[in-house]
Amino acid sequence: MRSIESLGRYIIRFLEEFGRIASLLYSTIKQIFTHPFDIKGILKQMVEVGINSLPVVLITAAFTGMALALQTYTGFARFGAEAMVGFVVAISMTRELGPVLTAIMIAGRVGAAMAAELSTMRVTEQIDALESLATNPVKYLVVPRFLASLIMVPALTVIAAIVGILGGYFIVVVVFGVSPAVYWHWTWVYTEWKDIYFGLIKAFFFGGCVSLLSCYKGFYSAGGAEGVGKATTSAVVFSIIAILISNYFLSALMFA
Amino acid sequence: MRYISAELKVGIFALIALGILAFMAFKVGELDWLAKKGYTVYAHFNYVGGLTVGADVRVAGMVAGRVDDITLKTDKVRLRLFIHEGVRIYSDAVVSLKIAGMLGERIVEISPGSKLPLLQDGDTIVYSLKVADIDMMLRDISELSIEISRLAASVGAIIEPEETRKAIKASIHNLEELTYNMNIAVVYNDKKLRVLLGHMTELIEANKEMFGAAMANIEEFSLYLKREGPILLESTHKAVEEIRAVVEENRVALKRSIEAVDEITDKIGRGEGTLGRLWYDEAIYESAHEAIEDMTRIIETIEEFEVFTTFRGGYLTGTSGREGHLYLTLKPTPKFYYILGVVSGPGGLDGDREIEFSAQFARRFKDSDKFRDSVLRAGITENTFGIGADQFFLDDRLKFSADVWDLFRNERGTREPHVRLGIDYFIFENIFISGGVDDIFNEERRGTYVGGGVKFRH
Amino acid sequence: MIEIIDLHKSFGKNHVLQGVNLKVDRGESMVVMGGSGSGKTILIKHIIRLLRPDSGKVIVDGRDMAELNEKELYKMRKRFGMLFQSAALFDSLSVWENVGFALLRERQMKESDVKKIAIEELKVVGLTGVEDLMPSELSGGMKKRVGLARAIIHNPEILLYDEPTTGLDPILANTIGDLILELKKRLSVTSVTITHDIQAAYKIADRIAMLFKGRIIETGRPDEIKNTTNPVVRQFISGGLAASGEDLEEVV
Repeated sequence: MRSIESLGRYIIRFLEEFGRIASLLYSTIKQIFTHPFDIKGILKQMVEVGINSLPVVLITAAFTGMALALQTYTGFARFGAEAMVGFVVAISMTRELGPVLTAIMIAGRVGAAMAAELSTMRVTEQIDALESLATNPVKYLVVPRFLASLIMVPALTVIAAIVGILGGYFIVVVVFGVSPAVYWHWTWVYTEWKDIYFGLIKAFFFGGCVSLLSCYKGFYSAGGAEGVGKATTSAVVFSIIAILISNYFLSALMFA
Repeated sequence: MRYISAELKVGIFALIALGILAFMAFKVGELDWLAKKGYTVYAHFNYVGGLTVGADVRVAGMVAGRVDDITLKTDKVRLRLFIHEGVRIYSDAVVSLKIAGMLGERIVEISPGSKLPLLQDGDTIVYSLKVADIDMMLRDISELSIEISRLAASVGAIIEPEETRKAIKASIHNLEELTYNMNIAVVYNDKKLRVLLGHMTELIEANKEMFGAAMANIEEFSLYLKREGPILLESTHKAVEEIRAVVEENRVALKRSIEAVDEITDKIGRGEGTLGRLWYDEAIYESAHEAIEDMTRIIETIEEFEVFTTFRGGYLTGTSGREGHLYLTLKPTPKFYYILGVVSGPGGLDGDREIEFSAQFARRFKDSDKFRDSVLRAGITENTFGIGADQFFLDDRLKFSADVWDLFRNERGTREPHVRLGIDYFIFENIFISGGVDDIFNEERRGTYVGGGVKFRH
Repeated sequence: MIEIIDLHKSFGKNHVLQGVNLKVDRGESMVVMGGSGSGKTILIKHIIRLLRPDSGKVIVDGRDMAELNEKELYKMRKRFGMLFQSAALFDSLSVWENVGFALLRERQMKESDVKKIAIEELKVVGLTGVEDLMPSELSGGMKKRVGLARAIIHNPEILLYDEPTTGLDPILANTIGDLILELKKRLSVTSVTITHDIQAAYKIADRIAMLFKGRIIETGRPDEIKNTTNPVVRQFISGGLAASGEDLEEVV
């Protein structure tokens, strides 16, 4: 009896949470189109989400591309298909690893910061203060973060993809001595616009996911300093889980 | 350092990201139209075998454009090809589908032709070769069989002269013995063949996908057979009937030996999927599916007993005539085999065409290290006793041949034996080109020959 | 001006407000006293609809706060100024941006003009030269004063003070009290102050209300409260700052 009760409680809590996320998304979207448009806030968040995340994304992408090339090369060399490594790296980076790794990095770096910042504002009454100053906190806090992520995660993904490909280039061409022309040729010959485009759709979706979930966790946190910590951790965890699960479904939907 | 505003940072960042995106889009061909000027031509195919939009269009192996669009019209597939500026394609260009690269990448190859006018934007390339060029090969075969049929009519004339008849008598005696031996060989191998074919069927069943590509070709082949088959059959039938009639008229022994040959082909036929079946069994045309299965079996039969059919055509400069050969190679073991052949070619200096038979026993010294690629042949070469030797190179792709026959020739203008030296080179698995010198010791008829042919393994 | 009618609010099983009735007249300075955890902050947040009542009404200037749509609500909130217990300055903005926040959001003025006004406003609360600092660089008392400057920059009609003197030393608390009094005189605003600081309450209140166990148990002018016969209120007054809800419960 008790276990069924607690199961029911979990389900209700889950649905409540889901409903709150949905309603936050709804008011976020509504506020995007409500005058005035806070370009300054968005720019500030774009710097934070995009430019300040660049080093970590670049490092991750470069080393992932290199590792990918290394492994693929070892395998492919066994049947003389070294030249195809470029293609494998390119398609992996554009379709899968570029968007997912970028989004995970953003979740860890920016998502955590968003949750921490918003939950701190919540527990120190800054969000109430915004309300009292006739400012919609969703518009002031969530919209710029959401929009900045929607724009910057795809942008970072593009950069991550090319850096990953360059990482692969470094391994295959510089380390293993495959001809650069051959590597480039095979990198592009099979890669389709679709791969890049769908990768960007994913990144766009992930950007929205990470910022929405992180803002949600921060926005509705409670319980002082401890609440801030909790909100931060669960924002990152939920974001990453959401990325990985939705990645599968997006892949299945788009590439299948 | 000066303070960099958020606007500037974001602006630079956005430019970089957009720049990379544009670069990648350009690289994968999406923005081709931005960078490269060119024009569009169309081509039509019955079957494009997995060609995709974006595939390379090559001229002489060089990338010269890409496939822009593939649309299915009522009975044909229309390709829209984007050709880079500066690539000239003439009105008699031939477009074909090729497989390039180790992963079986499908590409479009254009042989640009030479006949003016040049193709303009929106024009269509009229000539298109089918996948794997099987159609072409079959057209050759068809032509060849008509040739054979035509020449069979003049068999009578060959056998008419007394001396020829004598020669044939001797030859046919040999042939009789030879076919008797072959008969035994075939019977001996028959059981084995059946078992192996059984295994093959299982293997093919289990690996259907693997043979997908082969199946596709075979499908094309069988479709072609369905269409062109009756003509082919009719021609062949006629040829055989005529030969048989002529032979019956002339010599009982010959008849017997020919019947023995028939028996062999019958047996091969019953052994499934070989020439006999191909030629006599109407069922093969009844359903395309059956044909596919049989053909697949034929192609995939990997075992000791091998049967090859070789068609070859050539041009002789010495007599300014065309020459056609049809060989059936029966290979019970890799070490020794039999070659049965019909040859049509220019007759004497009077320009008549004549048909001649060949039947040879060949021995390949597989067991010797030194001569593993050497073959000695002996038997009947073009109606008289002849010997020959072959030397193979490059995993049998390249063959040097020497043949001597007509040792006691007594023709107008010459008494020297007929000697021919030649080279065959397989440019593809089934297609070869050949060239050489014919009738070396006969000043009047000496000349080079060039040609080519197809060889099937069953 | 402000009328609270039978206000109930629960958080989970905790029934915090159990039918609060309070009326604040225009221009009046109302101080609500109560122990920690008595729901004072909850009460004041209802006035500006930071919280919505479970039942009951908050009527401001004749309008039911619960019935305002978003646009009307924000319009209404512009008539309010609120000083939060912890000042609630925006960490990411500088002092002058905090003070000028309401004006910056309205986008009616140039930033440089807003800054000038903010500096003026900071002078009013007794601060100079801090406009370009960040909130984290300020002491607790300075934060409160910046918060006050922020609350009054848009000339609100109603000021809400949540524990304006809490956490400050007595001298500083006195200064803040003076400041509130001065503002009241100068701006002639209606104000609601929440505090458990009795001295401050006597100083700034026109009327004092005592919140206990989710209800207003006594309302009166400061001198009436001083001489009340209500044992809970007496206990609270004599217990001073230390009095809490639990302690008082024993008295009842």
